[in-house]
Amino acid sequence: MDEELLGEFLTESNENMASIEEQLMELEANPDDEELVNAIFRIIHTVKGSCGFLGLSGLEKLAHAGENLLGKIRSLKFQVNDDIVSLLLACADGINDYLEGLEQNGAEPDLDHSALIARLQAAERLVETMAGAGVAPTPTPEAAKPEESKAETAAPAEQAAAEPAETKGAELTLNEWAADFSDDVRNALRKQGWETPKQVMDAGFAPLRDLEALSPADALKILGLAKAIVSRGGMAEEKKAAPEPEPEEVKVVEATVEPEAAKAEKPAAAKKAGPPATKAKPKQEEKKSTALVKAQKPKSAGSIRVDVELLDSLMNQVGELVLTRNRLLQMVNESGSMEFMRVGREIDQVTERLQSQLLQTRMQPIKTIWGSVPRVVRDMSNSLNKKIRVVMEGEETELDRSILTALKDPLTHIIRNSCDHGVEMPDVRRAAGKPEEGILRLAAAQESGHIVIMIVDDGGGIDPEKVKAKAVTMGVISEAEAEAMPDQTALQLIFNAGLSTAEKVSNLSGRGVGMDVVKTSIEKVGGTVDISSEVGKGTTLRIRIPLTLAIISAMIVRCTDRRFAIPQISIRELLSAPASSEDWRTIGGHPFFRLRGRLLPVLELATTLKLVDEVAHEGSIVVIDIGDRTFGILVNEIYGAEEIVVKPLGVHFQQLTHYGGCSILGDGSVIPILDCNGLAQMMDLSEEADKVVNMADDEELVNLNDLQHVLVFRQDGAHFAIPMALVERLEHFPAEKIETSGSNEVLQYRNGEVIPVLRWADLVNLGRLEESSEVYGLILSDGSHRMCLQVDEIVDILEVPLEIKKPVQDEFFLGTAVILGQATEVVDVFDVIKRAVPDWFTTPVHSAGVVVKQSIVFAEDAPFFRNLVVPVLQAMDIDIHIAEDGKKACEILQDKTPNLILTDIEMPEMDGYELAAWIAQQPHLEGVPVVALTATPPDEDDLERRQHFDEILLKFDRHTLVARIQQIMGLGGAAHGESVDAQIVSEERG
Amino acid sequence: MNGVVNAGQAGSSELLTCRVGKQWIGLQVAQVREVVTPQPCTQMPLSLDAVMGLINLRGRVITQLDVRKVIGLPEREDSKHYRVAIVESITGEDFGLVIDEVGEVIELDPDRYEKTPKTLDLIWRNVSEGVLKQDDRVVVLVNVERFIAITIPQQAELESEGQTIH
Repeated sequence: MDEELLGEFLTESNENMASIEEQLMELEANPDDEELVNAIFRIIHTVKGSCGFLGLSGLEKLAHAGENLLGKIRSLKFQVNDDIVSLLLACADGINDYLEGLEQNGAEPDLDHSALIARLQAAERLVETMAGAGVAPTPTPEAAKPEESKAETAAPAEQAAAEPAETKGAELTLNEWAADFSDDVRNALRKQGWETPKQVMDAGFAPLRDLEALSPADALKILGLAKAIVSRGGMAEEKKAAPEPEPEEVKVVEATVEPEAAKAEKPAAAKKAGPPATKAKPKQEEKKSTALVKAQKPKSAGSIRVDVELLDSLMNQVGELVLTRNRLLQMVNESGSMEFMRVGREIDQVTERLQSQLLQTRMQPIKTIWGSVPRVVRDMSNSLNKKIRVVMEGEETELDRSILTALKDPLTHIIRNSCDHGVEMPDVRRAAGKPEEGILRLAAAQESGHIVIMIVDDGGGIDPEKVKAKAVTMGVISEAEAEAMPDQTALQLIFNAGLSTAEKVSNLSGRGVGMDVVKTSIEKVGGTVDISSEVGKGTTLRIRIPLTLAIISAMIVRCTDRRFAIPQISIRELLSAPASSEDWRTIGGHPFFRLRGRLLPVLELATTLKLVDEVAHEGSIVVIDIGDRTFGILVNEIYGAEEIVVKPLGVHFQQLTHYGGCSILGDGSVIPILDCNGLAQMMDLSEEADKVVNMADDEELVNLNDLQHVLVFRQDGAHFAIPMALVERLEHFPAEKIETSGSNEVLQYRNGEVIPVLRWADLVNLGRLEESSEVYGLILSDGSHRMCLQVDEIVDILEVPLEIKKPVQDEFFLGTAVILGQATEVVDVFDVIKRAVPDWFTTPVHSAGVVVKQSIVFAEDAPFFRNLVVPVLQAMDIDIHIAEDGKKACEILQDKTPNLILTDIEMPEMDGYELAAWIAQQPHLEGVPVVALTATPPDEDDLERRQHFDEILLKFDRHTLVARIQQIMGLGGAAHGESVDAQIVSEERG
Repeated sequence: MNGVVNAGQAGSSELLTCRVGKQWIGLQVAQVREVVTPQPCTQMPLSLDAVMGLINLRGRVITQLDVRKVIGLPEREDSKHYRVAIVESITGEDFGLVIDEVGEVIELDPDRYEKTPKTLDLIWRNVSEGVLKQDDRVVVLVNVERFIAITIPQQAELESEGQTIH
């Protein structure tokens, strides 16, 4: 077989087949769309047409059966139903199987699709019968048409064999039969003296392909067309003698064996063979082929195909380069030579760019694996008699291809599960007051170096009690454990092997095996998965995976005299745990560390790895969160985060689940990477100790929602943290990009926008690093304003519970928090911005709100202020309901009586005055204090305006805010006050 | 069982002799990539006794196996003095075999080549292709694949005692 030809065929067919599924499903929705039927017919027809040349008889038979059915649907204007679409989808699948086999082996795979072909033929007859019987929904005059053509052409069909007009087909002039090819093509053919289809056919493929004006695809097409025309004429004569491997006609002969089928086939055959059709048909077909050629032409000339293996090997090389660079830089720094340092820095930058760009080449949008989801959901909902709509967001989100490949199966499984067990039957949904059609939402987004994929259904949700009950029956947990277990933890049990909550086991998503496999496969690519669900509302699966596998961010720790790397993705936070800490506990012989009222089981790395027999309980704790389990790893010291290249371990370590690989550090030494899932399994808790895991004492549990992303940076040796909510980007740019404009410094940002620059060192009077050529800038933005905060050194971006311990008096700080085991000043972005852009807060900004619980209703349109005030209120143990404007606040207040209403004055839709006026009219809100929180208070003597509010506070005066709220809500000396004390020590109270 | 071996055929007729304790062994030169001096080695906690650790050989991470440990000899007196023969296995993974000393490369003389005698240590018999008798010593021809196989967990449990997985 001509390899080039086969390659062309595969490329073209794969491209065409990729769209057919979608088109079929569209057809199902719009059975009247004739254009769609035509398009689908063309695709199958093209595949079939090319098969003849390549000798792919199996594929040809299948494609032919599909083509016939489609042909009938087209000619009879038959409106397809679900069954026919399913059958056609199956046919497309079959064709894809062949293509796949061809691609892998270069030869036609030996597949038996005879049953499918028989079904296609049966469907074809059915279409005929139904159309004939007038069942077809097409109007009668239309329906008469095929009858007519039948009558007209039936007779010629009998003698089509001898019809002289046929042979004429082989002698058509170039302009007649190849009208739809470009002039260039025709001229080139004419030059060679190949005018008629017969001449073209006799010339053969190779000479055609060698013509400059013809691409191999064109050559293939024109040859196919020529052969089709010639064979239509010549074929008839041979028909009786020997069945030539021209499939179309052979099929007719076969079909005639069955009398009923004969009826069906005759008009078709007649139409193909009959003289009136001859002229029109090739033309029609050709138009389509050219359309296809055209469609392919815009393929970018600037891209080339590259073997994935080559990319993988390049990736390895770059990995090595990164490691060598690390070593080099270390040596350069030790040398102290300025010249070396400059070269070193250049190499550093080039390597970084090379690495990031190479990573880019391996990225593929997630839609490459989501493409099949609509089909999967359609098939599922059909067989389950459910109605499910798929909504996808962030399809363009890119992931490393190796991760994508690994994600495909788990994703499909989750989606099947959601369809099967998640979304309810239509009648159940109706009864529950939900629309009959369930929605399955897939969303992907990038989030600080990771990709987060959510699979959300609005189905019945999972009842944690049921999961617990099941887990107890299965012996996974004890009854006592079940009782103590928080719902969120209970839900994670579904990832436990052998647990399935579906009352009815269906053949579609299996029997409880699966979710554990899903979890394992996601963890294999370094990801995590967790589930949350609300009974009656739906279920959300959240998958978090690294952008790329080859290079990960890891925390380097020391345990005894050895170093280990712990992947950042599993790390929730770092704690300093000195021996003197009162938070150490020993229960059932196992160490625990009390963290925000919860007992965290601690794994002593040194004894677990048998490095020593006994350890002192002191050092640092790395808090690991692996979805269903949270535990701490006790190490001696934490060095810091580093980007490391993951290298696989040899065969001697396959059974050691606590290693996830190894890497080479800057000094050239090999470092083991710990696998936190494996470590968790090694944690051997006594029964007594196990009981207290997940058990909270008197205080509230830390909710996942309390986790915040913060960026930690270093200036003059001190650590500072800034909440990521307002950091739009982290920029690394040449120092000279900062220009001076008057007395201010500015930066030309993207799109030429000029944004103010503030230097952190200047703001807080700290020393700057000596002028370096590249500087870091944090671009702060709330959507409408931007500024750049220049800092010296970025330490890390972390997801931590931001617990601000001590609000300080100083400007620019919210207070101090312990991050990375180090006291870190948390920057008050607001103060910084106020300095840079004084008018920032006067312009209203729109944004989606955060949903919290109740007790205080807080109306505020600027997300920035919400971020500023909400933590303060949360720290006071107040539940907050947030409204983005006055209108939203009214909606919330319709059926809610909070203890306090806190509102901004300047808001879109309905401002604070209007809101206050509305509140005054609501009987159920009588007596609820309304406090305005504003940056621009009305004049002292503007009583008309002031009378709306019980109190007017300034937005940036947090201390007064805290004090006043406590006073108004009577929190001062109450029980709640204690917890306020613990977390916020306001100066008034102190 | 060990049969007569085709070590002498197929062109692989050169052997690198190495000493482990008092025993001389021969590795097929074609399978030895290089011999290196001691490299900084990262021990891997909880791994098998035979696994000395991981070394960084010009950017490649290689598992280092201590031949003494595999055959149950006491630790070498001078722990800093050894050589590492980097060998290639059919799986594509390279291993470092830690030996006491490297001898020379010798031609395999088919006439002097004998089947593994029954008197040889069991462990050597398991990995031997035969022995080569020289004037004053006996060189055991070691089949590298088989030698590595007995250090890997599953096989280790089956074929040799004293190798336990923690």
